[in-house]
Amino acid sequence: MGRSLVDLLIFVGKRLLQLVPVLIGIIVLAFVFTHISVVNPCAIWYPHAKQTILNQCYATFRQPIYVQFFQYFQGLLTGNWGQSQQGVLVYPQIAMALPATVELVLASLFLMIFIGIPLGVIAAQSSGRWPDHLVRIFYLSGWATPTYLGAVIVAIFIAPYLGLPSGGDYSGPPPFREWTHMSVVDALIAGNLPWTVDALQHLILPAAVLAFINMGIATRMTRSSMLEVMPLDYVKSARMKGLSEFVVMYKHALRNSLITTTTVLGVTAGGLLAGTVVVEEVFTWPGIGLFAYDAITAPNFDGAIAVVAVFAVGVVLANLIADILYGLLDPRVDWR
Amino acid sequence: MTDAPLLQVVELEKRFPLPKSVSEYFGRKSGRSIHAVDGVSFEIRAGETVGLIGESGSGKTTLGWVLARLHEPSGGTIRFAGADVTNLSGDELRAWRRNVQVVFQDPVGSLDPRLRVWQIVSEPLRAQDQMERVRFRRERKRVREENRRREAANRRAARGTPPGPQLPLLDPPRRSPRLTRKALRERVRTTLPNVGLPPDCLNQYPHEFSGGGRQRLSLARALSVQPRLIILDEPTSALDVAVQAQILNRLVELQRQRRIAFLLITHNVAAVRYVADRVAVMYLGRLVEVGDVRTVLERPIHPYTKALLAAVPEPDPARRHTRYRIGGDIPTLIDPPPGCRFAPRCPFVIDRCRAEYPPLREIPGTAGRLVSCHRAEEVADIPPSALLSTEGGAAAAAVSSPTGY
Repeated sequence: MGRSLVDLLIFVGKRLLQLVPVLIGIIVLAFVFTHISVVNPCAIWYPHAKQTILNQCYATFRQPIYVQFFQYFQGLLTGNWGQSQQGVLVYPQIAMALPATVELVLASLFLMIFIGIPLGVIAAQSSGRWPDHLVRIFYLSGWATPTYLGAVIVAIFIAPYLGLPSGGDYSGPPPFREWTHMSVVDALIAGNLPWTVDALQHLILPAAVLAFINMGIATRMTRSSMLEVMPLDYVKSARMKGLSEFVVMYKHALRNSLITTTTVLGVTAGGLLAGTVVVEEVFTWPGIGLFAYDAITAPNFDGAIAVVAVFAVGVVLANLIADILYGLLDPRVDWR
Repeated sequence: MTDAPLLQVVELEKRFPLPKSVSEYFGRKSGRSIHAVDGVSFEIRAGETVGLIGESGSGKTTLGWVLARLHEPSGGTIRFAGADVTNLSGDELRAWRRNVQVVFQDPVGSLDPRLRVWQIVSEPLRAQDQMERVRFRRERKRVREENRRREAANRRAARGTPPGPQLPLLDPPRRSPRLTRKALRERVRTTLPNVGLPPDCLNQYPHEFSGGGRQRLSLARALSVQPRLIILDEPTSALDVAVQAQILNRLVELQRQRRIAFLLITHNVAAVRYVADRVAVMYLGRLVEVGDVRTVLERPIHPYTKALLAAVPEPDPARRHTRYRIGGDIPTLIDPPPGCRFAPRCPFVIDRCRAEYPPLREIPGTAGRLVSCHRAEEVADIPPSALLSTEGGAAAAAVSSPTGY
């Protein structure tokens, strides 16, 4: 049996090594697509500039594309992630924006887990009766809601109704240093309770919108795998032990059906990282979605490529975490 | 054999309602159901083994599950050690569960794959320990309230002229020590050898065991709360013959040591012959014959029992080409017709069998044998082998094997 800590570390190491070719491939693709999709970037960047400046600009793009790529890649390896045409460095911007998005995704994952999964259990327990139908209506309406519509409705109508802010991550510049750029975490590090509450108030609505829209998958997977597990003999034997129905359902049945749900949630989390663009735009959340949108429309080649690479790493890491959790949840999984 | 019955079942019924068809939503008669267990009465005495045999689909497993209160009975009563347990629910049901345990058929599906051996075996103990604490708190509350009332009464009595008698105060209940993880592990470690498992496998998972090992684990789990009745639902049908024998031997041994009653649900006649004291034969939701295992298996009275025994393959070259002759259709369990359930397939059928249900009755001169057949006395002496034919080929078309092998 390969289930020791060493086996786990080897497993994680292998997966991280696999990340390298994926990353190189993604960067090549992102580089090629950004450079061939804009016909004349210099004309966009310098619409009214003199011919001399334009000529300087053209000079870089007249080189063969592989030469341009190697120059970019060299920079990437030496820690220079490039800059926008206005000279703003890409790396510090991403370093500031990514944690904010991660925070948003984690918050919505939290809601999906602690609301979506119990809803799935309730639906499975009352399969075919009205609570089941209500739950299904709930998650299907979330699934059917276009992100922009849901976000806009919440920001315009629900936020004022609940008295919650509908934009930004704080109500003003916070009076403490932002170490991690995750609003709630920073306020907690500073030990500033009023600002923590303020940050939570800003976080709750965008996180709720993201969760509502993506919750269906967790609820549905939980419901169907619970229905698969519930007739099994070990659930009956758990009941025979004299355990309460709650323990039977949540300890024996749910823990065994979570295996599939975890996998799906891992994939969803990776996707969410790149899928927050609209929600961040509507709620002016200072995350990477907003940065990506700006980088693509500018167009800021270096920024766009870096963002795509970061998204790819996020998806791969989320899957890796899901795989590890899968192994922790199911003792039959071998790490090798 | 004078013991009061440990488990007594009277007219037990279990019906599964069928899903409504479209026409029933428009006013056609509705409420059709499958009569899986239909008026079963029998009893199990403390420390005895009752074999319950019958073909697949006869309702054996459903009966076992209803007895263990895994299914709600639709009618009839279940009495356990004299107390009616048919309608227990909530905490009372959970506390009662320590008396009856089930070993399931499927050694893979009946063990939670995410729990370790010691957790699997000790969880019933933990659950019962928890129930114990609930009982303790309830009892403590009751005693405290009663004492408060008595103290008040005593004060009133002391003030009165002349002073009244003083009531004694009740002793508060004693809290049993909480079972620690270490104590549980120790309990499991000492339990495992009883079922033939090594005591050092506490931290293993069920998937690391063979089928026989898993079934032993199920048995250890069932034994952990020291139940008085274990319902064994085809415990050996998924195992190979050698392992079956080991498990059955273990059961006999445990019964001798602890006086546990077993209900052995199976279609394996040989296993019943080996371990059971009495045997009950079930056909389509009803018991057709109940009696001492030797007499029933050697001299079956009910035609269905004869057919069942005749269908057991025997390694006898002389019987190679014999065919089992019982044909006919199995009646549906959905709102079954009146009369004997076996009538459509019975070679001895008369008109009365189709019209009138033969109740289980004691056959005179058979030492407590109960048979549900109008013609029991007439057919009693016909041996099972008379139901076999040697025609071969042509008869094979009409053959239907009732045992599900």
